[in-house]
Amino acid sequence: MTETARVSILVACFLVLAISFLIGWWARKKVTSPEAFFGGAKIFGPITIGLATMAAVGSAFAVVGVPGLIYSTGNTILLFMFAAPAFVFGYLVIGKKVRAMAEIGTVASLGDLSDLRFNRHRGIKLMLSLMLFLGCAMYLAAQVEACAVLFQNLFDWNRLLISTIIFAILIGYTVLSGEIGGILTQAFQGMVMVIAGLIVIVAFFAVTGGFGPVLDAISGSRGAAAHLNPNAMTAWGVLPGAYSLAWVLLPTLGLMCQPQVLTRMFALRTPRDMPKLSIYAALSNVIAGMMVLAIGYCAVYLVARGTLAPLAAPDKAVFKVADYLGVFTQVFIYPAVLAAALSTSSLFLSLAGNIMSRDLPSALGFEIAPAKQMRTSQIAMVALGVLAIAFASVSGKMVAILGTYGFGTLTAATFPIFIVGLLWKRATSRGVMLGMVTALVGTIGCVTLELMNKLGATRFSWPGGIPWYINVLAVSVIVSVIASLVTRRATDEPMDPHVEMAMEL
Amino acid sequence: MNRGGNETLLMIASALLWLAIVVLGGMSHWLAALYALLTLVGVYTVLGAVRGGRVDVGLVVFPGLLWLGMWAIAFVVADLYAVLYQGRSPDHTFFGFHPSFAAIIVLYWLAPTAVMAFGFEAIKDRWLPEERWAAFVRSVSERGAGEKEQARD
Repeated sequence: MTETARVSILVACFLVLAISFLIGWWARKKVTSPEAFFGGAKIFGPITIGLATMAAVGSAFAVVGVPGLIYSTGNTILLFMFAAPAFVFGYLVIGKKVRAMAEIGTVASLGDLSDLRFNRHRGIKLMLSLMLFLGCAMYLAAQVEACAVLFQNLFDWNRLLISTIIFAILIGYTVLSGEIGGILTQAFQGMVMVIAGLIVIVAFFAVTGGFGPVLDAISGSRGAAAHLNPNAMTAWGVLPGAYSLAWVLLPTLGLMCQPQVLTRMFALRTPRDMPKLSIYAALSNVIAGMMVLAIGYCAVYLVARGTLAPLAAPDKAVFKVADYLGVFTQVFIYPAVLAAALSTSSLFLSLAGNIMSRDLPSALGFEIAPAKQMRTSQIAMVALGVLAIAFASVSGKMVAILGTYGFGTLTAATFPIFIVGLLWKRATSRGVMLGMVTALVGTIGCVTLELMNKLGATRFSWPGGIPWYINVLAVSVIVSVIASLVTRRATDEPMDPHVEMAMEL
Repeated sequence: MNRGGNETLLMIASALLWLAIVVLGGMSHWLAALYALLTLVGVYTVLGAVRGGRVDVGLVVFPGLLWLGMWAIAFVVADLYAVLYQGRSPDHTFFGFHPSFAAIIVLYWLAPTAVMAFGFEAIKDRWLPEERWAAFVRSVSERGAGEKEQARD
C-alpha cells in the first residue's frame, strides 16, 4: 500500500471520529433531563432511528468477521446477514407495545420497561442487569479489538495506543451527550456504512463482472488449488447444517429483543412511524448485507483467480479486498469498519452506564438521586471503557471469541422478559425470574465450557452441533412458560390497567 | 374466545416448538428444525396480532404468513439444489448464483424484505389506528392529571 493511500485512509477515519465527536458535542444541548440523557427522549424520526439501529446492530463483526466467514466457509453466515425481514417482524409484533410503555411512565432503560411490566420486580431487574452487563462487556471488548486490528493493518502502531485514542474520543462524546448523542452519531455512522456499501457493490461488479464469474472461478482448477470448496456457494455453505439453523434462528427471533433495537423503539417520536422505521432499517440492512456479500465474494474471486494469495487469516478478507480495489474504495471501507465498531460501542457504553447508575442500584434496593445518576453513569462509562481497552490489549484472541457470543447472550437476557412478557399477560414475575436465572447460569456455564474447549482443557460438543446459546435460549423460554403456568395461581399480580392497555394495543 | 386462554395455549405451543427445535437440531435434523422455527415465528406473529382476546387474522396473513411462506419455499428450493449439485458445479445459474443460493437471495432475502417492509406500511392503519393510539395517550394523561390532583388534595 502506498503512503498516500495510508494517509488518505487515516484522514478519512479521523474525519469519521471528528464528525462523531462534533455531533456528540452539539447534541449535549439537547440533554435537558437525566431521562433524555439515558434514552427517554421520544424525539427521533424514523430515518434517524432506522440508520442508528442498523449501525448499532451491524457491529465490526458484520463488516470484518462476515466477509472472512464467506471466504472460508461460504454462504452460511449470509443467512444471518440476510434476515432483514426480522427487523420488520420485531416492530410488527412488539413495537407498539414497547413504545406505548414509554407513555405510561419514564422509560429510559430496559430496566424501566421491565419495572412497568413486572411491577418493579427486583429479581428480574437484577438478572436483566447482570446479563446485559455481560453482553455489553463482550461486545465492547470485541469492538476495541476490531479497531486495533483495523489500524494495525495500516500502520505498525501499538495496539494499546490505537485503542486508547479511538475510545477516548468515543467515550468523550458518549459521556457528553448520552443516548441523544449516541443515536445521532450512530445514524451518521450508519450513513457512512450505507455509502461505503454502495461503493463496494459497484466496485464488486466492476472487478468481477457479476456473480457468475465468482462461481466459475471457485469451480475452476485454481479455486481447488487454493483449497476453495465449490459447495461453499450453495445456500448452506460448507458448515454443518446446525449453523444454518442457528444463523436463521438467532436474527429472526433475536433481533427484536436486542438492546440496539428495543431501546430505539421507545426513542421514536410516535409508534405510527414504526412502519416507516421498518422500511429504513430493513433497506439499510439490505445494503449492509450486499456490502458484505460483495466483499466476501470478491475475496473468493480474487483468490480463486490467483490474483491474491490464499488468505491465511480469513478475517483480513475485508482489508485485502479493499487494498486490491484501490485508494478510492479504501477511504470508504476502512471508515465503514470504524463506524460499525464505534456505533455498537457507543450504544453498549451508554447501556452499561445506564445499568450501573440506574438499573443495578435499584435492583439491589437503593436509588441514586436523579441528579447524581448522570454523573455516576459517566464515571461508569469511563471505567468500563478503560477496562474494555485493557482486556482487549491483554487477551485479544479471547475477546474475539467472546465477541461472537454477545448476540446470543443478549437474546437470552431479554427474550423471556420482553417477548414472553409483552406477548403474554399471564407471564408471571416468578416464572420469568426463573427463566432469567436459567439464562444467566446457562450462559456463564456454557461460556466457561466453550473457553475451556478452545483452550483444549475439555472436548465437549453439543448434540447435533447446535451452538450453546440456542440451547440456553430455548431452555430459558421453556422454563419461563412452564414456571409461569405453575405459579399463576400462587401469585396474585395485579397488572397496571395502562400496562394491560399497552399490551392490548 | 376466552380472554387470555388462547394466548396461554399459544404460549404453551411456543414452548413445545422451542423444545422441538432443540431436539430436532440435536438429532441433526436441522432442516426439520428450521420448519419448526417457521411455525414458532408464526405463533409469535399470531400472539402479536391478538387484541382483546381476538386474533386479527388479516394482520397475521399479510404480511406475516406471506413472509413465512416465502421462507418455507426458499428452504425447500435451497436444499433441493444443494443436494442435487453436491460436489459438482451446477448446470445452470440464476443471476449468476448457484441455484441453491439464488433461492435464498430471492425468497429469503429480497422479496420477503420488500413484502414485510412495504406491507407493514400498507397495513399501518389496521396495525395501530390513529384514534386508538390517541385514546391510549389520552387515557394515560387523564390518569396522570388525576394522580396529580389526588397528590394536591
